[in-house]
Amino acid sequence: MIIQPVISENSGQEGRWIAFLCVIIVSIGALLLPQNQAPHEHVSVDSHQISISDLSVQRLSMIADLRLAHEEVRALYDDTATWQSITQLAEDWLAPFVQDKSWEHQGRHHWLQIGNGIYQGRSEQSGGGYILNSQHREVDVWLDLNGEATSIEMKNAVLSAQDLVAAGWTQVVFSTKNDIHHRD
Amino acid sequence: MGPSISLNNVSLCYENNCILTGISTQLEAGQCHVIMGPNGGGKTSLLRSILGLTPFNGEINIHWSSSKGKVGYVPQKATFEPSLPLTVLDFILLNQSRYPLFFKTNKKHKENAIEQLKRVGMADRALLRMGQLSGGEQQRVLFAQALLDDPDLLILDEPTNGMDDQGVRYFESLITEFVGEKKTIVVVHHDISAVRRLDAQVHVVNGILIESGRASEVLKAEKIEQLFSHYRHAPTQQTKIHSVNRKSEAA
Amino acid sequence: MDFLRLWASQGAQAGWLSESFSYAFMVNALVAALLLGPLLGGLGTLVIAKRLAFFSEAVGHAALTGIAIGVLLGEPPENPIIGLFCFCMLFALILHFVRNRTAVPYDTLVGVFLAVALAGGAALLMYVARKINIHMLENVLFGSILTITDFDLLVLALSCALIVLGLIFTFNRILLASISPDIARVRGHNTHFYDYLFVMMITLVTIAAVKIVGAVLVGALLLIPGATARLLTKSMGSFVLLSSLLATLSCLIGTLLPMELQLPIPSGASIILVAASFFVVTTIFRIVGRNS
Repeated sequence: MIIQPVISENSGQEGRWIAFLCVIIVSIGALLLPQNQAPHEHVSVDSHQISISDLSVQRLSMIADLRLAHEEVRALYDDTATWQSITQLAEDWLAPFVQDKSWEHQGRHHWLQIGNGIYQGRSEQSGGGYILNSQHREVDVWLDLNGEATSIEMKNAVLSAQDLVAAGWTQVVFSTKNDIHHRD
Repeated sequence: MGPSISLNNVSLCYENNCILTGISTQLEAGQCHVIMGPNGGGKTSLLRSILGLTPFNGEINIHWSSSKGKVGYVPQKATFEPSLPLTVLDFILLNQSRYPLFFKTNKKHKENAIEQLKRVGMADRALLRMGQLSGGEQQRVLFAQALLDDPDLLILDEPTNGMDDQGVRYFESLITEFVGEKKTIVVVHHDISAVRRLDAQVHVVNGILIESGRASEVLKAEKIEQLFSHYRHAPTQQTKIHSVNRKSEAA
Repeated sequence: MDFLRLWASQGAQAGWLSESFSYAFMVNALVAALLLGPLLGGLGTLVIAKRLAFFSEAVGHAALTGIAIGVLLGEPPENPIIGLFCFCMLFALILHFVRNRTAVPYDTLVGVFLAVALAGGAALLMYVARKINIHMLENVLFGSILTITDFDLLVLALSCALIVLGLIFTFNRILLASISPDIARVRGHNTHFYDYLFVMMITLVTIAAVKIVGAVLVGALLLIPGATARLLTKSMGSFVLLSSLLATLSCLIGTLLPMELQLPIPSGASIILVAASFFVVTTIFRIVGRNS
């Protein structure tokens, strides 16, 4: 004769198992995370350059906006061989040219088109600034790191790197992982 | 020979509400035990407690005569969505083994399934969707599922609910067959005349165990009214439980 | 894989395979579609049976947050697999645990979790997008066949094999547990275990498919082929097989078509559109068939 006791149903076990499973998942994650880190390319930069990974968040957001603007400018140039004016860019609601709240937050930069496809923005507040050079397919951004660079006035149609360096501007070096080309 | 089941001070309480209290009894082996009582009285809960499906308190033991046997359970109903392409045969095969439904059907499994379906008269409807069957036909299939493992203990919850005459006939002949084979049957059933025919053991449950005895004893004319009354009574001398004060009607 | 790609490009040059096949990423994407399709279709039938459609949507959207977390923790933007995996798994497990322990209606619960995941994901992703290429967002949301590497295919193949094996052994029990948990428990099946196992399988497949179909639409791919197959089949076995076939066809055609027709639409969108067109045609067929 076999006596089988009937076990009352209680679900205390469930919680413990799930908690256990969660701990295991987080542990596995923590263990494997270092294996899957994005390669930190140590781009060697010259003295007049700065790597994008060394920039502050606020600068990064300005540069992200400038990159988008660069693509707009290139798109128009490819189609019509004309360069967008600042007014046009602002009318198209493009940051950082349109004067909205985020423009104020970023330092109220006033923009001028100083040359064909070259735009310079100087901040009202901090005296810093940026230069977007869209003359080539690859985006070229320079910034005024310490607020001491002088504004550029273009004498010829082409802006050379030496002129910029001489005026105190620093070139941003994008890491190759960061896909500065168009996606297609 | 089927097992006997002993219940010792079994109670089932959820939050503030107790559905069963102090149930102590012995369900003898090889007999047909019918649980009767008013709706909401805890009959289904008692059945599910025996199966270990509820958080009951107290002791329930199943005393098997030799080795541990199989249990067949026929629930009150199961929801079958009409649009799900689950056929009667699919459902039985599902219960039989892990052999997945999307593989080519195993011949032996299929034969066994059809066998059980024949016993409930549903073999010719094997390829219909479960969701397309009537309630009574679904009940029959649920019954067939319980027969798969040749169980020694059969537990059925209102098995003839919604069944037509033909279904009821199949059911009664199978129960009689099982009783003849000395299997233990525990069934919640409302049909008094059928219970009398079977001359089963009747247990009247309404939160507490009101009465236990042979059908001919318990189902006397003067007692019938008490059977289905919703108000919980103090027990008679035949039972061993003390009366409990009820605050609310458990309906 | 190299052999396959070589064979494909030879075929393209010879002319009996279209030009799209000469691209390596196309061959990769097609292999991925072949691996994922059957699984999505098969699991989709259980999603329909268990009425977990909303849940699979939610897991898909939670993938957004998972990806953002992964990138935030330093993973490469094209492959933030660990953040994705951990977050989605935790999301799914906790959601189901809360469902089992509270009386909150399932719809409401999934809605709340989904909203939190999406809001969190959106916030994180916007923050993270400043550091990386903004185009990545489009890939994450709607899928891109361009980014499937050989390593991805390996991971995909392994997870698919694992899930298929698991499914073969547990399909019947999962289905039974959803139809009648009581019968299943009396038979000695651990219904909680099978429920959670299924939830984890869904999450795994969703994570695997996010790259091709994108977070927004991946839940739909678990649903639509199954919904179509349901209208056409008479038994569970053929339901699963037809659903798998439709899902695979949708993935293959949806991957190939934009390249062939030179349409710049993301792969996720085209796959879902193909799947949906199957559904629409079948429905019309059924309605017309019923009326005539």
